[in-house]
Order: sequence, then structure tokens, then C-alpha cells
Amino acid sequence: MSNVFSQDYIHGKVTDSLRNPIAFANVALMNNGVIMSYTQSNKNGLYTFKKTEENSLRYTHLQFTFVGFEKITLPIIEAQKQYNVVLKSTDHVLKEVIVKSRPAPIQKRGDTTNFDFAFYKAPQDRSVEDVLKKIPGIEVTPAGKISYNGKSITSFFIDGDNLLDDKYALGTKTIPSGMVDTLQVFENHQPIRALSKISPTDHVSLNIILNPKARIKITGLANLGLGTSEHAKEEVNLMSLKKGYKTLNLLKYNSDGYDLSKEITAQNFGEMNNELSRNLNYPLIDLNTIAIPYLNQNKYLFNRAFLSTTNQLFKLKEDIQLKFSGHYFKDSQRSNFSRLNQQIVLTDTIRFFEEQNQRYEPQKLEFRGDLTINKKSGYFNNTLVFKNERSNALALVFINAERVNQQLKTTPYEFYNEAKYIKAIPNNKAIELFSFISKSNNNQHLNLAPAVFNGYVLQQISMPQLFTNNSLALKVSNRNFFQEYKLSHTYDEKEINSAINGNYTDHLGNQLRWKYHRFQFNPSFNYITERIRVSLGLPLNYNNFSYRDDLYARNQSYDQFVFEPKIAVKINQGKENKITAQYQYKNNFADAATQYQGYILLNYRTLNAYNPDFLSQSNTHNFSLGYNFSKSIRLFSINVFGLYSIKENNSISQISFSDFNQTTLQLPLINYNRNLMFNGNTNKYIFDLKTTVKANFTLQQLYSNQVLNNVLLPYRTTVYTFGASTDTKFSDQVYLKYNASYVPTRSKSTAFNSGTQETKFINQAMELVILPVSSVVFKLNLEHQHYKNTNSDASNYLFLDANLSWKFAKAKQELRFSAINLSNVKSYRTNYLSAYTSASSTYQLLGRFFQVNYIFNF
Amino acid sequence: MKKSILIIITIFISLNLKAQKGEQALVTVFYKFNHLKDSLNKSNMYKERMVLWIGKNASVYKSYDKIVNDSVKKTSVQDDGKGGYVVNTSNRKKTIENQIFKYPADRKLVVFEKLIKSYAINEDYPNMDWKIGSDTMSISGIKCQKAQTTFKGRNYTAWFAPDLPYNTGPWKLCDLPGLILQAYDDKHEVEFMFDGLKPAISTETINIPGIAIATSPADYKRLVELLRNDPNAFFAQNEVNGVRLVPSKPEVFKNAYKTENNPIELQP
Repeated sequence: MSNVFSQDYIHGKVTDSLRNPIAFANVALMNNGVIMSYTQSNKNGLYTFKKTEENSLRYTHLQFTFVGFEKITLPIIEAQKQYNVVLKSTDHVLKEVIVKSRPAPIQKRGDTTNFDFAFYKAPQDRSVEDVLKKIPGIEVTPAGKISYNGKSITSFFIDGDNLLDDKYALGTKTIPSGMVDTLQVFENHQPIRALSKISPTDHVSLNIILNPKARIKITGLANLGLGTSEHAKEEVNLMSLKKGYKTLNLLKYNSDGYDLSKEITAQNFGEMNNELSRNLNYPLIDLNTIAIPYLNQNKYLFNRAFLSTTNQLFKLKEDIQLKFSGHYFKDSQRSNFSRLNQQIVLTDTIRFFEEQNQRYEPQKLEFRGDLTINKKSGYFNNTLVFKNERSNALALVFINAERVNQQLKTTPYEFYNEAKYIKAIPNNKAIELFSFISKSNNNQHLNLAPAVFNGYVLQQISMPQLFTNNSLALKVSNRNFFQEYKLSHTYDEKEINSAINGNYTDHLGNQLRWKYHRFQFNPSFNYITERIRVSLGLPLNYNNFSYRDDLYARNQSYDQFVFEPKIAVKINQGKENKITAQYQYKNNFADAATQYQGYILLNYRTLNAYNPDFLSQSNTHNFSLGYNFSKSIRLFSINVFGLYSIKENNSISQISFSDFNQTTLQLPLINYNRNLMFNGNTNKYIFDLKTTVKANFTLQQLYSNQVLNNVLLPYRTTVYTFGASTDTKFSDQVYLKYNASYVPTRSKSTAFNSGTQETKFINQAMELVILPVSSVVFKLNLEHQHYKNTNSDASNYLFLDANLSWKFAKAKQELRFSAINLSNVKSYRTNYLSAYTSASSTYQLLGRFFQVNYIFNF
Repeated sequence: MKKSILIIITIFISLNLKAQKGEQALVTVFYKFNHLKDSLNKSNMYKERMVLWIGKNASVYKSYDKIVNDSVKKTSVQDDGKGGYVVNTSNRKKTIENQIFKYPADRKLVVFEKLIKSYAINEDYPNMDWKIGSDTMSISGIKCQKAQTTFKGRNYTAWFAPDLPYNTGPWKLCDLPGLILQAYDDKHEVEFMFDGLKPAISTETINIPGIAIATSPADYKRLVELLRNDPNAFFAQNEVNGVRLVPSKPEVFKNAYKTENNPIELQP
């Protein structure tokens, strides 16, 4: 009936009251209030309905709706095909009934990353540390130090509580991975509530959230281990990690080459001392033992270590905490090694061969107590620490076939208190008061039999030190701009009292009284947006040094102003790429340990003294630039980083050799050390090979100067590192890793035409993991090392380890079989090269051993 | 030649700017989402509260439970002693991580996913051929009309409100002359049930996070498959120092790791 008309049935235009077309308006054909057909207007506001035979008669109305406009309904008139409408805008965006509404504070979680622990956990992972190693961005060093995206973490929280401070390796190596639900990484973490929003940090902290079951019960583990050649391992631990009270206690003993002292290492000790600008009271005597070899400890460390520790945290109130910890460590380490030393001086080469049989027996005792009040209005923390060590080292040395006995006893102690008070004041400001006071001593006692230098058989040193650092800071924040103004005073008072053979005279003794004051005004500024972060520090220091030694009728004093600016910029480029740049100027001064005048016998063949006529110091300009490029969707990334530093020294070491004896003095002579480093690495997953491929390249060039037997010699040492690795998962049962590196090191004196010294090191390692069933893990490690030196023959080593573990009784119990060093390598030689020294060292290894461990979790 | 390059660059820049501009939501719609993930275990329905924020030209559909979870965590995370953090984990629930952005005018559908980093997956805008029925129903006092279609392997019934002229709905459903308040498939294995409506508040903006990396469904699928088959290789790509990870929740990997036998989308 109606199809006499054109194809277009109903059409028209939708506009607003200003005659502007409305696009995407809903136009519906209705019958009795029910939509039968619909369309939308186009960009010009035009709409058209195609005619449909059956329905055409039933349409009674045309309805127009659009967001923000009132609905219009028009009756359809038989003859009319064009309907143009003008929609009226309305403020009643939503006049409809509000059925339900829920209050929901919506906040974004800025810098917190959550990781589901169970996801990363593999059957063979026992401790939290095992799992942490797999979490993207996290790296754990063999000593247990954790970093996230290259930045060391400052705190490790257990359910929000900092039970272990920077001895967190105790926790990560002890807490079973099964107790943890989630790992949180806090970036730019500010744990002090009074400062949140006022003072930004670039600190990274980790928090493990325990699963609810782990929070209520007391858990622990017992490990019984037996091994061949007395290489045993025993452990008992007990922990309770409740909300109001947390404790972690353990007893460990082992003699299989695992160094227990790393579990109680204070991981941020270096950072803390840098912040305090503190020169530590290190011992001066150094038995000149050998560098540790590039090998797993269980290959070379002969030990009998014992560790016992307790850590307690009480929550007195929601925001008040009390903590106590105590640690005792004892070890008896044995090592045998020999070394061929070559000092290349002009055309001369001084060669000597030494052999050492050493027994080292350290003992450490430490107590710590903490009180913390952390409220929004203010913060208070006081930490009190007492440390005492006692170590005894016996070394039997054969030097060019002559026999010398060295015995060194050191008994350092330290007692320190650190207090911090922060008060938040209105308008986003805060005031911080800080005080650190430390009292320490380091007594050293070296006995030689027989004497090597002029009948010197006994060196005694006592070094009491008092160190304080007090500061007052005002912190102000204003949107993206953060300021801090800090006034601080540092005081370092140290004595060096020493005598050789009980004799103070003839330049054999010291009675040095050293005093150092530093007043610093340090304004620092941070500007932070999503795209850029700029940090600027402008510290101005006034330094005063005075030292006195009555033995030499010396009394000297120096004053110096120093300005040490630092600027760092980080720019986020696009969504995945980042540029970082930094410049820093730093001035380093001598301390008592580099300003004594009388000779000190550092070991059987080294005598050392400094020139007190001037204050030795150095200043360094540091430049660095980095670029991170990443293309996640292609699983590809490249990072490059470059660093250049130039250091100006006002003194130089003058080293005199005669036979194997070495005497060192400081000469006033301005000289420069330069350091150039370039590092690039790339990472790519290849789908077809189911393999991650990584490659890296590092170039490091060091320029240094030495005065050797009265001749000034500049040296250039160049180290290249080429590395590549692959990681393949063939199936859920079979995994294979391989990595290889090639490290050539070259050293050359640039002043005259001498030959270049070179060592080459090639290392290849392979790991194969097979899980025939989920409760059984079999692991095989294969490593090949190759050393070659200009002056010696090549050496090659092949190491083979195998491990088999079986979990049973619902994984509560575990049996583990290990075979270490199956190829039974008993002697190991490495080459070392730096500036003018080339050394070839041979170590005695533990050799092959087998171990069975039974582990019971409760 | 030079001129055309300039034009292309200008277009590129303007597109970029457009993509980054957020849009203020006008209406917030709550849904109860029910999903029978495992067809062998009929008694165990996965349930989650979802929300749809609708603006003038765009809408985003995401988990309401996640929003609540995050805000709860945020507040309870800052509550304690020196460490400063006590974390209340009692309320924690695995939630749907993705967000579905629809831009009807541009026929654009973007799924925002997190897989350590954030991705914006540009999918084809759903081509829904709705058959409008004459049945009507009042849902919480709002008049609705029935419509039916087949989408991604399921036969859906939807109830839309002609008086709420938004051409969107829960999940990827859209293209009706009114807001979809309720939708379910014929086996009732996937259900989106209306659970409330309110004017949006000013913090509710529809904005694909700027950190998201634009990608295609095929490329993204390849990443997920790698994660399923070889997570270590996947994560190895993030091991290089200096590569910043975008905050995310790893549960999503777990979900990706588990294969559901009855996913929402039975067909591509």
C-alpha cells in the first residue's frame, strides 16, 4: 500500500536550537510506546529509515533522544516522510530515579606495585629470597642485598613492620616462601607519616604481606644435614609474626662453605655512613690476603660457622613500637693459597712468590634497641647499638721459600645512639632534628716471627674515635616543588696511638690527635611531575681540620670552604623510555687514617706512612648519562649508560720496592685519575625459539698515576666485558640456561714504550632443571672457566654440581641430596691485573663432597 | 611532499592529544556480573560488582570491587608504626583487571589491560545486529525494552532503557537506542544485572591511562600466551635495570595463567 513512495521511508534532520546539526542522536520508530526500529543521525544531523514491508503500517510515533537534550516524540502522519526536529537542551542530565548509590572513595595507588607471591613461586623455592630473585625488577646479590630496578631497598617490612632493619637478609633467607601472600614494592617511599606529602624520597621499600594462617601460628624449621669430609649443615629456626608481636630466632651451624656472616650483614651500612659523612674506624693493619676467587663459596671456603640471632618487635600502641635484637656469630675459616706477584716498574720486573696458610677466627656480638613513635603530627625514633668484635688471624707465609708467621688480633667495639625527631607544622612544613653519636675503638696487635723489616716483630695500634653528627632541617612542600634547608655540624675526633716493637721514637710510633669540624648549610630542591624529576642540591661546607702529634712536635690546622653542587634530571620520554642525567662535584679530605707520620707495619712486607706537611685531598667531577629504551609488546629492551669522572688529587703514593718489601709514602703532587665507563645491554624474547636472549657490553678505562721507585708512571687499564646468555623453557618439566662472558683486561704505562700486560678470562655456565614430577626437582650445573695471562700458561677448569630434592608429607618434609664439585677440582689459579701489578694466585679448593639434608617444617 | 609530511605529523599530534584527553562521566551505572567460568561446576558462579561510567562521547566499564579494594588498601596501608604500614588483607578479593572503553562516534573500542605494563588494545567496534522485541519490563522503576542478538558465540537478551539515551552498556555490549540495564545469554552463563544508577562525581573521568602502550589484539594475545607458556621468559624482559615497571596487580597473570573452560567470548 505504501510502497509507491521512494526507498526512503522516513527521513529528516536533527538540530539544536542554534540550528547546529546533532550527530548520533537516537531516532526510533515506535508503536504504542515500544521501539520497533531505530537509527542514529549522521554527522550532518541527517537520518533515514529504510522501508520494511511488514512493519511500516504499525509505526505510530517517531522518537528523538540524545544525551543532554529533552526527548521529543512526534506522531507519524501517513503522508509525511520528512521530520526535521529541534532538540531542546536540558540541565537535567539525569532526572531519573537514583536507585542506589554507594559512597566509594576513589583513589589511585600511585607508587605501590603488588606481586602475587604464589604466582612466582616454583616447587624448588624454599625461602622468600628464592622467590624474590624471580620477581621482575628485583635483584638479589649473593650477599643478600636486594635492589629494585637497580636501586637498593631501604627497608624490608614484614606485614608493615620493620622487624629486622637493614639485617633483612635474616628474614629473606629464613622466612618460608609459603607464608607470603603478596609482595609490595613501594617506590618513592616515605615511611614517616608526618612527612608524607612534605618530603619526597626516592627510596624503595619492600613489604611482604603474610597469609592469614601464617599470622596466627608459631612456625619454624629444622634442618639436619650430613656430608662427606665433615661438610655438614644444621639449622633450627622459630618465628611468630603476629600483628602486635613479631619475633624471629635462629640457630645455624655449617661447615660446607656457606658464609653465615652475610645473614647478619647490615645491608645499608655504606649508604648510612655516606649520609653521615663518616669515616669509619677501620683497622689499619691488613694481612694482604688474597682477593676472593670468582667461584661459588662452597668450592673454596673451609669453614665452621655458627650463628645465633634473636629479633623482637612489640607494638605498644598502634603507632608506638619497641624493638630488640641480638646476634652472635663465630667462625673458623681456613685457607691455603699461593701467589706469584709481579710489579712491573719501567724495564724492571720485581717478582716474588708467596704461600699462605691462614686461619681466621672472627667473633661478633651485637645488640640493638629501637623505640619508634610514628604519628601524623610527629615522629620520634631512637636507636641504641652496641657492637663488639674479636678476631684472630694466624697466617703462615712462605716468601721466596722463607718462612714468616703473622698473627693479628683485632678487638674493635662501637657504641652508638641515633635519634630523630620530626614535627609537622601547618602549611605543609616540617622540622627535623637529628643526632648521631658514636664512640668506638679499634685495637690491633700484629706479631711477626721472624722479623722481615729491620727486626720489626710487633706492631700495636689503638684508635679511639668519637664521632657526632647533629642537624636541624626545615622541609617545605608546595604542589610539585619540594624544598629542604638543612644546617648540620659534624665532629670527628680520632687518635692513632701506635708503636713498633714497643718503640715510639725513630719514626716508628704515632700519637696522632685528629679533630675535624664541618658546618654545612644544605639547601636542596626537588621538582617532580609525571614527566620530569629535577633534583638540585647546593651544600656549602666550612671544614676545619686540626691535628697534633707530640712525638713529632707537630700541631697543624687547616680551614676550607667547599661548595659541592649536585644536579640530577630524569625525563620520561613517551610511555616506556627514560633519560637520566647527573652531575656531581665532590671534595674528599684525608682523615686520621691517611695523615699519620710514623711508620706503621701493615703486614710482614709493607711499611706505610703519610706526609703530614699538607692535608691530602681530592676533588671529583662526575658526569653520567643513561637512556632506557623498551618496547614491551615486542619484548625488547635496550639500556645504555655512560659515566665519566675526573679526580684531582693533591698527593700521590710513592712506593719503593726492594725485593718483596714495599714502603709507601705520600708526596705532594697534583695528579689526575680519570675513569670512563660505558655499558650497554639488550634483552629480547624470541617466540620461535621459546628463548630469552640477553647481551651486554661494558668498557671501562682507568687512568691512574703512581710513583714507583722515584719515577712517576701513568697507567692506563682497560677492561672489556662481553656477555651473552639464553634462557629456554622447553616444557613445564625442562628448563635450560646458558651464559658466557669474555673479559680481556689490558694494562699499559702510557709514559714509555713498555709492553702491554694482558689477561683474558672466559667463563661459560649452564644450568639444566628437570622436574619429572612436581615434588621432585633435579638440577645440574656445569661451569667452565679459562684464564690466560701474558706471562703464564692458560688454565682451564670444569665444575659440575648436581642436586636432587624430594618433598613429601604435604611438602612439610624434604630430603635433599647434593653433590658438589663432582669433577673434584682441588686447586684453582686465577690472574689479576691492575696498573703495575700482575698476580697469579692459586687456591686450595674443598674438592668433591656429598651432602644429605632432611628438612622438617612445623 | 614536505607539506604532506607536515600534515601527517599534525594529524598524528592532534590524534595523540585527542586520545589523551579525559572525558567527565555523567552517569555511573552499577551492575552485578555473574559468570559460570567452569561449566562442569554449575553451582559455582563467579560474581563481581562492576561499574559503567558514561560520558557524552565515551564510556568505560570496569570492576567496582577493584575500585573499592584499591581505596581500602590505600587507606589501610598507611596506618602504622615506624614502618608506617599495616595492610588489611581480610577484604581482598581477586578482581577483574581490565577496563573496556567505548567511543561510539569513532566506532572505537579499547580494552585496557595490565600485564606488568599497561596496554591499550584496539579492538574492532562490535557490530551488533540487534533484533528489537516488543516486550517491555520495568527494572528498578526504569522502563526497559527487550532486544536480542548473537555476539562472540553467545545469544544475548538485553533490556535497554529508551529514556536513558546512551548507546552503551555493560562489557562490550552497545548500539541500542538506550542504555542496556540488563543482559544475559540464553544459558544464563553470563549475566550483567542492573544494580543501581547515580549521577557521576567529578573524579569519575573516562580516560585511557596515558601510560598504556597501544597494541593490537594479536600482539597482545601473543604476550599472554608467552606468559602462560613461559612466564620466566616473559619476566626476563623486565629484569634489565632501569626499566620502570608500571604498578599493577599480578592477579591478572594468574587469571591469564588459568584457562577457563567457559570464557565470555566463545568465538572471536
